[in-house]
Amino acid sequence: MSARARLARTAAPFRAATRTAQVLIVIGVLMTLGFVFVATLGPTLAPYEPTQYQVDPEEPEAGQLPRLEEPSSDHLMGTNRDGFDVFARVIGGARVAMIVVLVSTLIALLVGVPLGLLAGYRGGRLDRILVTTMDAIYTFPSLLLAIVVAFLFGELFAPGVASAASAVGIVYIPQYFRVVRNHTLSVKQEPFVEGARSLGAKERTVITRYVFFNVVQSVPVIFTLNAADAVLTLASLGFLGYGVPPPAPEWGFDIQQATQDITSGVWWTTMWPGVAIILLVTGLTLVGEGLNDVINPLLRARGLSGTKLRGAPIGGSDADASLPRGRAKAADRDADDGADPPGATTSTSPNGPHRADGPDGPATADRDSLPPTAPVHSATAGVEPVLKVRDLRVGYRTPRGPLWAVDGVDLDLAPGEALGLVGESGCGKSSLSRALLNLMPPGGLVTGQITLAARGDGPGNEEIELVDASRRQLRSIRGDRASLVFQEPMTRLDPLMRVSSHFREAIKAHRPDLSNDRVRELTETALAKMGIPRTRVDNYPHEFSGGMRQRIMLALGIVLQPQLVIADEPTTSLDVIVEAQILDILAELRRDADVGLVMVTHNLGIVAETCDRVAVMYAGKIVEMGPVEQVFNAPAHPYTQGLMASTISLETTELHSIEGSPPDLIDPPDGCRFAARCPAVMDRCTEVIPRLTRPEDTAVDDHLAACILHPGADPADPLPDERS
Amino acid sequence: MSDPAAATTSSSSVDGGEPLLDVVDLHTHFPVRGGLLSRHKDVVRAVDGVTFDIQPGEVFGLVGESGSGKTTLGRTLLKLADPTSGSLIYQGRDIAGYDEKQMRPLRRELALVFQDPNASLNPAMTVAQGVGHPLLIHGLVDGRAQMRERVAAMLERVGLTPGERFLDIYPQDLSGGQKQRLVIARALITEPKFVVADEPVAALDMSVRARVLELMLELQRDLGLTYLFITHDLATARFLCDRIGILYLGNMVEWGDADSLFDDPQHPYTRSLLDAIPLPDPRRRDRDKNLPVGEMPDAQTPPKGCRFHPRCPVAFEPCGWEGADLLAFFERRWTVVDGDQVESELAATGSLQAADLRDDGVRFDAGNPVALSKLLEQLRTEQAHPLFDAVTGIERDGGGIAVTFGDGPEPDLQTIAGRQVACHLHGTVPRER
Repeated sequence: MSARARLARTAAPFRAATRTAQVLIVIGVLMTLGFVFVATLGPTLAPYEPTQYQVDPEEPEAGQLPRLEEPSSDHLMGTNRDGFDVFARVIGGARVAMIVVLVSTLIALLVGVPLGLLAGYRGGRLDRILVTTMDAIYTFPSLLLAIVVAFLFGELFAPGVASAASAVGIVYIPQYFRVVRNHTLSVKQEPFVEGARSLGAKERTVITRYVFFNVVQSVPVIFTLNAADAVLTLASLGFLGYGVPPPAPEWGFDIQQATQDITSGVWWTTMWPGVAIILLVTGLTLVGEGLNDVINPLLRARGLSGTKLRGAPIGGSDADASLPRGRAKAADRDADDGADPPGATTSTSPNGPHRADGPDGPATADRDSLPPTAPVHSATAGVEPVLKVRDLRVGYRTPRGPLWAVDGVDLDLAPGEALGLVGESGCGKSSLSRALLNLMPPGGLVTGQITLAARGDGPGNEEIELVDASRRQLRSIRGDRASLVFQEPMTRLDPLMRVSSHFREAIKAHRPDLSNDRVRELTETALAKMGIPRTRVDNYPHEFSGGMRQRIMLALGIVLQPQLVIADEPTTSLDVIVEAQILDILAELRRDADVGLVMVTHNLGIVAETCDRVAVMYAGKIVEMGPVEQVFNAPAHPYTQGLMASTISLETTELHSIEGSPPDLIDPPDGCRFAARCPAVMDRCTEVIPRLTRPEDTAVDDHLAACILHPGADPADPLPDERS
Repeated sequence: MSDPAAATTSSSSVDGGEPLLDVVDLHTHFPVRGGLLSRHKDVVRAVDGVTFDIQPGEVFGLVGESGSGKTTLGRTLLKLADPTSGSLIYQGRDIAGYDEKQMRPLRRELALVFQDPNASLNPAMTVAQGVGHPLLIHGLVDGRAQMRERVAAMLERVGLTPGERFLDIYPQDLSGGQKQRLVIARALITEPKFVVADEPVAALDMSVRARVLELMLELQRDLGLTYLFITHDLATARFLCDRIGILYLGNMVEWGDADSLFDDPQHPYTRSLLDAIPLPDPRRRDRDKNLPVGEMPDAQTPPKGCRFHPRCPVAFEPCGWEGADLLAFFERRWTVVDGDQVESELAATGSLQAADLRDDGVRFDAGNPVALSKLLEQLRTEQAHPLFDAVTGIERDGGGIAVTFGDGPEPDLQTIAGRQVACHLHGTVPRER
């Protein structure tokens, strides 16, 4: 049972790999296996021995094979200058190559891996000595080294397959050593290694059971790539006359012998050994590269595997936001779909979670369940929103199918307003915040509508639709009219650039005409606002503390007076006091500069401290939205209520939690996505998708919740304005 | 305090009785190698003279920001980091000098729960292998079958039911909350007495945190465990802990009964931490926060006197003012006064990078010594900052100006309101080093 689990887990990354990697591996494995097959069964396949002069070995006088005979039915690949059968030579060569490759890579592996483990884990003097030695070997040209070693071993012992294999093997020891040592160094830092020590495990146990098994995964890749290289090195040694001594069949030696034949029109003696080398090396390389794709986690990142996304999960998105969608009939909507990319409606509907029941079933209800004319904007009614988002969807490719991290979001942001976007990990809040600037990872798709309002007059400041915007347009907007502040400030600043240079680059990219003095002035003012003195403007990022770096990032974000700042967990990596300092600065900034702020966070306290409005996200959808006072004092959605109750504050006397865990977004449940965890769940909850409606007992217009506990949220109910 | 019974235990335990762990003047310093050419060695004073005790059956909270030394202190208590000096008396034995081999049998009584459940489980071991490994290490089971049985029972104990279903899967296939339950199961399977939990719920989602904390409390009650709960989150600490110690730059600045510490903090740093917590209540957003300035300094070069003084909102004359504080004062001042004034003051002080920090103060390589001297005298009379109260001299020194400061002793712990507090506001008690 355990063995099966292990096997399933080993195979899992292969299944998750890209289609190309899978094909490469299969082809490579087949080619390599072909050679293994030939090498083992070689003698029975060939009619002659590779070193056979006579047709009949029993009779020494029977005569030699004809020399340099053209390929025929008798000699499939012809014969060579020495009167050997080329086919038999190629097969025999495969056998020698296989043995040498296996022995040499095993030598390298068995020496390099343990030394690497030991050096990496122990560190100190042992490590320094080993690293220096290995580096010295590594810097030596590998072929030259192999020749020297092969020559030495040949003199010391006997020239032959063993000497050649050892020569090739020693060349590869440093490769294993380096990879294993570096990997060990990083695994050693993992808490589970220290954890093993805390359990009382001995050093040997820690190295073998905790470090080794996590390090070896990179070995197969080197193994196959080295094997390919070993074939070439062996052939080179043979070609130069330092390899397996004749008359043993060896491809490199045979090619060298046959070079003089080419001029006399004899092609078969060089070609067949050459083809054999190319095929085996290609096969092994394909396996190695394919394995690398499988094992290297970076290439396995979300977005590079799985089917490509073409459109939104529901039959296309509505491009016309002014349309009162709640009352739009299905037929009307189909007519309005003209703005969508062709094929969007049909191509993805099978993957769409809501279409599973067929176009005539609940899908109709889905359309009606789209947010009604409900006010998604703030209480500052009448003010033109700086950002208008309609039916926004963000999808990713995964091996299991499309994942819609954001699944139909509408919201408005007024100038100078701060909107808190809260939710737990995986709810889609980060995807949403990045999509607002159309910043997507490869394979990600944004559909819907994101409108950034005009900023005063003048060119480059007009109203713009960000989903359809060109890359050039987006570049000109990011960092100028809208900016994004990330969680890890250090990774966003170039360590080799002075802080002032970061500013100069950012400002000049958008305002090339500004004088250097003016750029300097803007920089100093922005930094001073964040509490960074002008005496430190020319320092490098590493000369600042974590909180200061985040202040620098904020200053960079606001230096060109953007309309919109999106802050994605801007204080999560900071300590509580520094966090409070930064939040104070953000609040001040908003009061002074009329910037629209979207604050993405998992911390309800931060929202309560800094935001005017809050939107609560769950499983890709906004489940509740409204003024902070209203939502915090009288949360209307059971998820919001659960989130508030599970927040631990200084006054907490009893712990609460929400049972269960969030749904799988690749195959989301029907109806309300919170239903499975909801304490107030009813049968109806799994049948309809609730729409955002104003709860009956709320005091303000712009408080909305998507829960059928509130009349009007059930798509079958009349809309609130029809109710009255 | 959620549990009245726990409250009585903790208050009686403070009065005396044999502590489970007695920590006396514990130091853990790490050497840092300088550049390639410099042979001189600096040390990071991660834990720098900490004294406290942990009573059997209590939850002791260790609260501090990153860089306070709380994780190093936790690791030192389990001897995963070697103490530089001081004693560590566990059940009557001083284990500070024990080597790895002497510690090994003790390890089954001491357990560790990490912050990040994703990184604290070996990805190459199944649940049964990983959780059961401690049993094999300490020879507590005969054979694999018995180990699997014990693991399954433990898994059910931490809420992973049915236990058998989890035995042969890998931790990567579980959710964050489930993984943390695994980590807890592994820590408790040898029936330890003392558990160090280093931010055990910080990496978990809000809706899951409560469940894991509840589990930890339940296990503590049922198994009679003693916890050292390391956290930066004061709210969780208050809910969970009987007593709390606040750590700042390797020093315990205040420790004692949790509730009274929160209701009536006696150290300005404790008060600042409490004020800084973002409250999930928009009605209280405009409260007066009185935040400390700046950030925690480097533990390689801790400030003189009270280590919190450069940031303290209520610091006064004896707190340990020094040259670096004057430079920081100018830097902060120049972000608020207008540009012309910055120009003229900068002309007077000369480059601050060129200023020479000394044991008793600082020497400015002044651009204009006369103007600087005048400026400093003026700031002193204005009492522009409490640091000027500690200035003992402003004198010409060659072409520059030297400013000297009076003595600022390091505060020692003193008993205030039933707690240990290290702050000069309660009377100056210099600490002997």
